[in-house]
Amino acid sequence: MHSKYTGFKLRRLAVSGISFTFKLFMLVLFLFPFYWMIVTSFKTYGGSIVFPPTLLPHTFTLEAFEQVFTRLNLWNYLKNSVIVTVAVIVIQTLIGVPAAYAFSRYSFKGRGIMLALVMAAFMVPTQITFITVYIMMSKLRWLNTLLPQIVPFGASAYGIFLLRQAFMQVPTDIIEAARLDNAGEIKIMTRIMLPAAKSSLMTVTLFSFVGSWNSYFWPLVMSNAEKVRPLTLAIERLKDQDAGINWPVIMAGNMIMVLPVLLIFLLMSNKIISSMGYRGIK
Amino acid sequence: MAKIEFLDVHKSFGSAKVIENLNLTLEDGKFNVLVGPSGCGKTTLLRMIAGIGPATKGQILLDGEDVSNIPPGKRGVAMVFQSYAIYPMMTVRQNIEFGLKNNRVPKAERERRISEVSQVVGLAPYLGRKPSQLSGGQRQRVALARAMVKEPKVFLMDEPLSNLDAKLRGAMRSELVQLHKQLKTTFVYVTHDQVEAMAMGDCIILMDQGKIMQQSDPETMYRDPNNIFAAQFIGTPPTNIVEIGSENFKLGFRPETIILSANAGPDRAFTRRVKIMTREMLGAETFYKLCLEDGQEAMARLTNSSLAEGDTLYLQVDEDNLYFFDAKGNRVRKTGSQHYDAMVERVKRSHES
Amino acid sequence: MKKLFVVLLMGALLVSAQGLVFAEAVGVTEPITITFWHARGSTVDAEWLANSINKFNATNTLGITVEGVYQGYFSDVQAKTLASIAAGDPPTIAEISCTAIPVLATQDLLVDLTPYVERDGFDMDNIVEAVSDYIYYDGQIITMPYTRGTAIMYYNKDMYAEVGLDRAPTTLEELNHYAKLIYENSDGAVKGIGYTIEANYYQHYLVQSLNGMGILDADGSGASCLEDGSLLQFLTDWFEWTEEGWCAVPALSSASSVVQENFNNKSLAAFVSSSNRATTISNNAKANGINLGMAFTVGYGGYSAPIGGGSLGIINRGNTDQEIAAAWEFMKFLMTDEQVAGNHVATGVLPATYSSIETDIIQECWAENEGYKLSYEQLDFASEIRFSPYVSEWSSIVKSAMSQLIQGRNITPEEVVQNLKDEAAALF
Ligand SMILES: Nc1ncnc2c1ncn2[C@@H]1O[C@H](COP(=O)(O)OP(=O)(O)OP(=O)(O)O)[C@@H](O)[C@H]1O
Ligand SMILES: [Mg+2]
Repeated sequence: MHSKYTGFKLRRLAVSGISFTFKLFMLVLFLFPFYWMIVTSFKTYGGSIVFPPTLLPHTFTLEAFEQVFTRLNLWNYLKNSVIVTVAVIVIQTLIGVPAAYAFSRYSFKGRGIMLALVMAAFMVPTQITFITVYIMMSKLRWLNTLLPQIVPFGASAYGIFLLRQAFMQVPTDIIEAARLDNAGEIKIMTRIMLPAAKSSLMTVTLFSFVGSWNSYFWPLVMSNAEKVRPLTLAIERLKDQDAGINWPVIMAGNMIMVLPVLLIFLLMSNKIISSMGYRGIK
Repeated sequence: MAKIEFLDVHKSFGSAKVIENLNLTLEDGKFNVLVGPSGCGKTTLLRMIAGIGPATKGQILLDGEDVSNIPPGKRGVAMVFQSYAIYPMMTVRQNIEFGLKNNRVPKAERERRISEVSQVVGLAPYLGRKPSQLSGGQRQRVALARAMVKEPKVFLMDEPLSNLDAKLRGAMRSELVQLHKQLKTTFVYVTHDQVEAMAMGDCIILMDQGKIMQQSDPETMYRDPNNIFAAQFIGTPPTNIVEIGSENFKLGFRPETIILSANAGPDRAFTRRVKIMTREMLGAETFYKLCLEDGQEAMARLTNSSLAEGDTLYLQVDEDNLYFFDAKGNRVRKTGSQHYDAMVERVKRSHES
Repeated sequence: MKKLFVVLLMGALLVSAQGLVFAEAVGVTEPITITFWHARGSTVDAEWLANSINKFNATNTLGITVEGVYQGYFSDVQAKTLASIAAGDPPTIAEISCTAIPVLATQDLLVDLTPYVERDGFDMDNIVEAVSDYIYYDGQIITMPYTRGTAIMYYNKDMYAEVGLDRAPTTLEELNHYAKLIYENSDGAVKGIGYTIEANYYQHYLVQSLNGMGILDADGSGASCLEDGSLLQFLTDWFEWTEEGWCAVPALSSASSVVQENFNNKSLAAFVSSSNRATTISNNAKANGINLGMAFTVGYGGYSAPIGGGSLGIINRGNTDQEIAAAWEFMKFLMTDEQVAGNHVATGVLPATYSSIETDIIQECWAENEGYKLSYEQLDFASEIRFSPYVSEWSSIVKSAMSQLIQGRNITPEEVVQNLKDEAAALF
């Protein structure tokens, strides 16, 4: 009995040791790039290319950040990124939620075909559509505005699909109960469906946020003026490989780029984790 | 308060016809109980009244007014769902208040009604809780309170007690009856449990396969069934149905009306020699499964528990306790049928032959 | 991806219904805004260009406003320009690489500047002979040299002096000898020389030193380097050099940046890069305490060098006469002595006019910095790859073949040449 017990305890100890090591490993795996970015941004160019590389800056300097600010009209790009991202999220929600609700709860003529179309749109890569879209935007004379970066993303097939899945999980009884409680469709959507689909909505919003904030290819193609370009393009412009990539400057730019994303994840981490957990249980 | 009428109502789901040509009137202020086996269309009927599953054809009148084109929220009906369907993301208070807000009931009035209702159903201490923090019984009360607070003309309840344990169900049954006495509104209560139906209803509507088999008060339903289905659905064990030789009618008698004795008395209308197959002692009463000489079976429910398996005895039933049914299963009564006496004679004689 | 993009757009171009604008010199009559797409992204480049544009916008008396838009590398500018032409909304003026000019010119997408040159008496003879090849096409004047460059050798003087070479090498053989010594003396820690793969630029001049033509024939419609053994010899050598270790294998990504990083952290003693980067490279070397030498590039048996870089062209689709006239004004401004000289001094791009060389700006710079002067002097023996509609595609084919050999290392030089022969048969 006694030996059995200690054996069990040892085994548990071993298991928790392995699990701890594994967690530590994963943590390092995920955190190291961040660490490297931060450290590099405080190095001098010379310090960033020494071999072997150093884990800490040899001379700590804010030069790279200064350069970012002097080389770029940062506020212009930041403003564009914020406007585009916020607009995309808002419009996607305004369009995606009702669309997902309709797809999940109404039977109407052509629903199957329309849903299939949405899914098809989901599967067609932008690389195939961007030329036609570009020509369209060009004909509309929109290339000097932020619209080409916003309008084509007003509806997210992925978002509609995910929300529809979440809405379908809501028992019909509850919706009917709300109808009996004299709730209109908008109210049912906002008060009944959305709270139930909170985790999906959060997932969709986060994906849109990250997608829009990080998008590079699309705005590069769809903008013809500096005044409508987002931060990603500005940061990329810091990288001139023919003249030797100045890693500290690039990393300083990237810091500025990922800071809002990090902040949002940190501020919302509780909700994100709980929403993921909620999905897990279901 | 309202009278509910179905006029030539049809309901189909796609090609499946669930209800055909239904005519039914539910009286104002009554505790109506819709009872019938699973899948017979009870919920379908409720949903038609509520407007959330409209009839395919025909009219539904509330107080004489056709409500076909009135949206669910404006019909003045409240429904307690089989699943309760309380809003999981709202607190108890918000659940109760939701309908009132949507109906633009002023705030003060809302407060008054909520506190009143929550007192009545005993939810007052839980108003701030989320449904996930409530027990099954409490959730059921939320569903009830949500319906009550709207002060509807019609209360629709779809098996509201089926998710509760036996004890709680018993308690809730009498509370609901109590509630009905207070409110005096029209209740339409769905159950597939005949005991519940008998215990609670003023008026029982017995359904089978989308048809009304009988509509009457519980007493009549028990004593005077209209057809084999009604006779068998109500009562435990169900009414025994036996065939008499090659006659084109059937005979029914309830297990509790059976007289078992060693010697057959002379004046009984129906007599058979039987053997006890099984014996089930349930305390005050005992069930015996009997086998007639011609192989038919019958159940008896007696206070006498001294009989044993394998005993051979006489089964007898008095004429008053016999139901006669025609070939289609419909009741043939003494009044209104000139064949009745002849049938009784044939039954009496059938034993001697 | 990019290739697909270009191919699709070529198709779109063919069906696009844009009318041709026939060149006829007009004057700018009212205030107008034109866009200029370019590839000048590095700090010094962007800064200088912004100055140029600001100055032009502030001083021109015709009310012309130029909006500069950085579009990425040359290949991006080329792709986006083609796309915008197809879409009917192109820039008015663009900085176009030598490989892209034939692509645009053969489709007649560039304005013939002859009427303007004649109207304004613009002196075409003032343009430095060596960079004038891509100006003319089919009897028209289609571009003006703007960011033309030549490859020069950047080397660590101290490292070469240490192994006994206290001046710049004059032949490839000499360079290789000392490069190998540096490698051996450092026990393999320092590579002696490194090339990135730019088939129509760095490798072109090395092949040229063998066959006198480089990777494309003088008539621009064949590659006799495949037949005469010159390409095979060069590839065999290059493979050997990298196999021995003293010649650096180009990195798979950002190769040009990696070369400079290695040079700056002293694990590489010399590399070949464009004179257009002279300022940036000098600055970095200074910051890292490197005694930088700039020298003529060397080929087999002596000096050999390429010319490349970008030129200005005006797009003749989707632009009004007024816009074209305004673009010409801007072009003319960029060709003034002050601008050409300033461009050279600020960034290292080649001075494109003879008169600009006489300015104090350049003379003072050259007195101080021999490297800049050297890039100009190198034009005496440097040559451009032939103007040919095949330049763009052929150089990308050769480039990927070289990449397969030097970076992939899973094929023999003979096989590479054989493959290229097949490709050439299909292309030319
Ligand atoms: N949405 C639907 N689509 C198709 N058939 C349906 C639908 N709803 C109900 N039915 C069918 O209609 C018939 C009546 O269903 P209903 O739900 O009214 O039965 P019920 O009497 O309430 O049964 P239970 O006691 O099991 O709740 C059943 O045969 C059922 O299969
Ligand atoms: Mg039901």
